[in-house]
Amino acid sequence: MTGTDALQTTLAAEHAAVWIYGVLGGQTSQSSQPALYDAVTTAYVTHRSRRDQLVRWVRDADEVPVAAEVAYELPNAARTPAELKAIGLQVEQRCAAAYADLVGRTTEDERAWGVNALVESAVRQLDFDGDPTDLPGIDA
Amino acid sequence: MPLSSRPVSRRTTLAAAPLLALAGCRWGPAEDGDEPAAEPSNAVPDEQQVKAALQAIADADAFVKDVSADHVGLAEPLAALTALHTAHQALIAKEGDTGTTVRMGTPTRATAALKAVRRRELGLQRTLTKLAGEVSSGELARTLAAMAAGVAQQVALLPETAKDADA
Repeated sequence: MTGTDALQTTLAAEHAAVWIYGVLGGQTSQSSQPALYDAVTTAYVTHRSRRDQLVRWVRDADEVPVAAEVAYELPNAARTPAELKAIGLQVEQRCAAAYADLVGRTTEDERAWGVNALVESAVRQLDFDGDPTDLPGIDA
Repeated sequence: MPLSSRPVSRRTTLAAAPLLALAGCRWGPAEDGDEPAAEPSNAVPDEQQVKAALQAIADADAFVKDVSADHVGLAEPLAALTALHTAHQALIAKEGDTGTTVRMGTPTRATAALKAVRRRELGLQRTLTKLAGEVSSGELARTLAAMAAGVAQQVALLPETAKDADA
């Protein structure tokens, strides 16, 4: 796998994250679940920005950015706060794994971006009731 | 408290590889088992960066242990940090690796000590982040980045005050 492949893989993860957080946003109440609403909204904005950055890098490499799927399968019904958090946690864990992989396959700006994204994603997992691990992105 | 130093022994290395397998996911990283790009055969093996990482962890760990000893009420909330440091040292240390830590005094008040721990850990996180960008080995970069992320999680979970730690 090349650095560009890793960018594309991470982009695919970001496409999924943006789509899923869009769904979660529609299922979260700002008035009755303010903390969860904030976490989902912040995550959506962050992943959209990361997606756009990855698209730019892939285009800079003269490749066509991987497209988003029409829809993504959710692991549960996304109705209760616990279900919404479980989905958010899964999204962050998968993105963290993609970022960690990206770090290992790139250098300089792209690697630095991947490290920062991994750190942010690891902390965001806690917002969704994730447990801390020794090596986020690798062991969880 | 005067500055002092003491040797810190570290455990035998574990090769990082067994811990580094990615969790399976359909839209996550590739699962074809291929490893991150291998460094060229003439690559410097990142010894300086590994030493710097071990030193930074040892310094942070010594401070956390001092704070835990001086403020017994903080020992429990800080236990996860020391466990993390130990795990990280074991990941990247080689057998016989030793280092020297510079011991600093800890703040008298528990809340100030907690804030000092937070600052130290954020410094460790920054060091690991910087080193991840410097190493030639992709695998080591990945490990250092994940270590920085692990530290960030523990910092986020630290109580804000000693009162919170008691709660």
